[in-house]
Amino acid sequence: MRPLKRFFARALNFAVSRSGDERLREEIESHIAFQADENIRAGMNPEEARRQARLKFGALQAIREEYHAQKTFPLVENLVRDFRYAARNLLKYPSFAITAILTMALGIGTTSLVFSLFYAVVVDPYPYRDAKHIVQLGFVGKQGPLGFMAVNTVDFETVRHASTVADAMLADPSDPITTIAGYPEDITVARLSSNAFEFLGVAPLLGRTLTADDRDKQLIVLGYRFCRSHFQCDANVLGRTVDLDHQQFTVVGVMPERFTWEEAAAFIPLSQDINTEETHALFLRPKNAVSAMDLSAEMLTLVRKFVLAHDDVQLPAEIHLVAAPIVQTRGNMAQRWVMQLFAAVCILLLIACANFSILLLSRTNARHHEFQVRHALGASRRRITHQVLVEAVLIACCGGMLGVGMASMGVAALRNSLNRSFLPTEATLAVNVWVLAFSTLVSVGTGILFGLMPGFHASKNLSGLRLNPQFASRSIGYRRSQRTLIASQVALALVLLAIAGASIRSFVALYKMDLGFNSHHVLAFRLPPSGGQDSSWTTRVGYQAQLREALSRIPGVMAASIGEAMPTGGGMRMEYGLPTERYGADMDVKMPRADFEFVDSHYLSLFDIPVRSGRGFSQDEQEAAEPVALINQAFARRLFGVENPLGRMLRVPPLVAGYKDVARPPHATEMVRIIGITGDVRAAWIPGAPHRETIYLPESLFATPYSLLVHLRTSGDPFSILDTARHMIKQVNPEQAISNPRTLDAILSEDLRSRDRWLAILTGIFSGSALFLAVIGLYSVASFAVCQRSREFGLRIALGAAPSEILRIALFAEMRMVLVGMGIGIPLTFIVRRIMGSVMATASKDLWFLLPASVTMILVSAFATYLPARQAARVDPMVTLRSE
Amino acid sequence: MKQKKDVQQGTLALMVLKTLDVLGPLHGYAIARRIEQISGDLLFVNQGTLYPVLLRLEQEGAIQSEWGPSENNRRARFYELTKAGHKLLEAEKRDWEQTAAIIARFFEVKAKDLS
Repeated sequence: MRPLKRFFARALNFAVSRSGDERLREEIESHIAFQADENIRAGMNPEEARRQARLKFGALQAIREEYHAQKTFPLVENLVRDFRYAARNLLKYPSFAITAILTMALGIGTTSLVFSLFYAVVVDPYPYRDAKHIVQLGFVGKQGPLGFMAVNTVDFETVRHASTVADAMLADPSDPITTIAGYPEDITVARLSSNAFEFLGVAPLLGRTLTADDRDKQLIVLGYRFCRSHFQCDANVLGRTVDLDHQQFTVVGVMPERFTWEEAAAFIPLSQDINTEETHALFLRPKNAVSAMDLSAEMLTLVRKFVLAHDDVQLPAEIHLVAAPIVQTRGNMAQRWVMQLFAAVCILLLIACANFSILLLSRTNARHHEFQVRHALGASRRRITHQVLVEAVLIACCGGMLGVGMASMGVAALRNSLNRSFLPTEATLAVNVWVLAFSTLVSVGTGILFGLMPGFHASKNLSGLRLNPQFASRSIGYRRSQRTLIASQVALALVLLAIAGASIRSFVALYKMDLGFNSHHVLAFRLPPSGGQDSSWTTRVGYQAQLREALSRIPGVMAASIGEAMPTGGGMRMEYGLPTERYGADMDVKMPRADFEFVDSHYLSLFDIPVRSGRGFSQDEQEAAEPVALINQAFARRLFGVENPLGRMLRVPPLVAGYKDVARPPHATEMVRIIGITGDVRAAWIPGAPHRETIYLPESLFATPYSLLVHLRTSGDPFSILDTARHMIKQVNPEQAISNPRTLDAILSEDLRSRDRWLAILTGIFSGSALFLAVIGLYSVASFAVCQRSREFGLRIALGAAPSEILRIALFAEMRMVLVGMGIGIPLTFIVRRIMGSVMATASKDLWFLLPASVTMILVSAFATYLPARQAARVDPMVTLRSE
Repeated sequence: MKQKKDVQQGTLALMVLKTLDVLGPLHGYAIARRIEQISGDLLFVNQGTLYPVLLRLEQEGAIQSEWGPSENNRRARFYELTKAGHKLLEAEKRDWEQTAAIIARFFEVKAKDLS
């Protein structure tokens, strides 16, 4: 209670800055008068009496100070005073202030920008409640991952009530056709179990979400973006109907913009079907304090029980379950990418801070005389250190504010230009409270940390020396600190240059890489399966041929292909074997897999994928579903070595296996004959990755019910024929939707390479900034040194040194530090690259990147020191001699 | 010559409180004199150190003060114990007595008492 009362009294005094000095003065006066009276009574003369009284009272100033310290908060008061002083000082030397503030703004701004990316991608990528603990269970067999656990709606209830599970939900994407916009289009709709919204803990923007009572009703909750693009998105949208595959759904709610659950446009209830064949992806949240092991163990027991109920399904013998948080199962690459950027930007921040320290050192050195006078007047070391620190923090905070401004501009720019597939879909990139807190922390922290060294130097009390502003050798300590800083700055800048060099090189390598196919002038779009058609094999193959024929008639289209593959897609992983080998039912474990590309007869020629030997299959073979195949060179090498694979047979069990909805030719067989060998196609986003083993088969052998992929090679701009293509397709089938038309080049650069592109751009910007900062640092150190040594240079010239000699001396004094810095930087770069190499798949492993980085560093440093050195060579000896 | 002791602030505060308790409202000089008299002129190096203590006690609400005329018609600031001050004095006194008793017992102990 008492300390609190006292605190308030002090705070009040502080706030109203009430001066108690008047009262104290009067009290002291009366005290001394009393004492003097008494002394006079004791027989002293009045003058002596007063003197004795004063002596007895003690040191007035000390008591006043103590009194004052009791009265308010001296620490805070000093702080305020220091801030005012620091601000005045900055205004007095605007060029120093601007340089220092800009330096810090650059450092803190870029760091905050990357931190906001980090926050969006790593810390808070999902708008779901307790997203960290939502897991999917992945099956892992002998040969690696086999997919995630999915259950039917009956088994789901068992899973929900398992002892290790807090709650669970089911979710399945579907892509129905809707005609709200006036033409058929396919949209992604998530089918969610009735408890999903509760499980995810998200509230609707308008209306309501789906509940357990809605499970068999035709209700729909819209996603915000879909609502915006197809309706006037206000409360009136509730109650409207949306048709999905000719069924009418009533809108009951709209979700907030951020919630999309794997890019769904809308959400409908998963009907409580009796069809136990259909399974749905399972997401669950384990109970508190349940280990991943226990969860997986219980789930595997359940899975074995579920499987027993089905005769036709068999679990591979060696299999286990792994609980994987959704944070890991989705957007894994983006996380790595952001971490890498964060590492790079931290180096930049360090460089900025070193620069800041250098500038501050020069500044404090110039004020050396002032500090010595303060010492002489009785300022303690602590007070002076405080003062310098306050100045440093002030600069850092100004820089921080400017930096946050820069960061929010950067965030806005990134938000506009980043591709949507680039970040996890539900991540929101913004300068939020956490980013602000981070920036503040970094500003104050770096201000204190990097103000310490200048503070230390300023507070050194060289009391043995004269208070002479001209005293020359005073700056030895400063110079040493500055040189250390310069060397470390150069070392760090080199590391950053090397990182940037590596990411730019790997990006360029991606672009230059021979993909094995020609991606230019190709328009690609999807044809979602259209309703109202019978899905028999004959219809399907005929329909496809009809479409292809119509599309190839368009003027400007040089070739058209309709199939189920695209060269950037990677194909379907399926099992195969040689006809002589026998395999058991346990397919997962024993049969090798390859990429199967189901294509039509025009695919290879359209993409300029060469047929190395043998031949491609013809249109007639495609329509007749001849069991023929082409394999790529990698596959031929692996399977047949030096033997000639042409004419050999391959066994492909999936071609006859019992898959639902897959249309097959009347004479389906699992044996296919190899008739040709093609060139290899590379994965477009990993330079130097091994070629995948690929088999090309006529699409008619394995007609899946999924959407078809159309590729058109055009003579001019691919988009110019899109409208005609729409028209032609409509003539064949008015209900056929077209989705996602893009050029293949755009798909490559925006989807598959955009991360590498942005990594190259951003690290390029960072390293450019680092170079810039290093130049500023070097320049200020060099001109400071020249200033310090101008007397020496003047004397040298007076004694006959040639200006060129002086130039050499001044130049090499600083270049030595640059070389030392590079000596440290090069091994450091190796270490960093070793670490980066383990993170970054695309890093090129050779060491030539050091050469351009080092050369740039030396050139830039020479430039930065040359200007002050030239100034040194021009020192007028007469001025120096006169000033002596 | 005997060395004068510089009193610890806490102790000084307790003496101030007790003095005011016994003698009623007093001005600073009188308090200082009184403490000196009782402690036999051994206590203060500087009388002035009293004033920061008075300020602190006042901020804590243990005493209050106002200007008034002194016995020989000088203007002086008179300090007076408040209710909270009385309570504080009681508490401090108890503490002090306890400490003193413990210390005293330590000094009385002889080696044979412990064996």
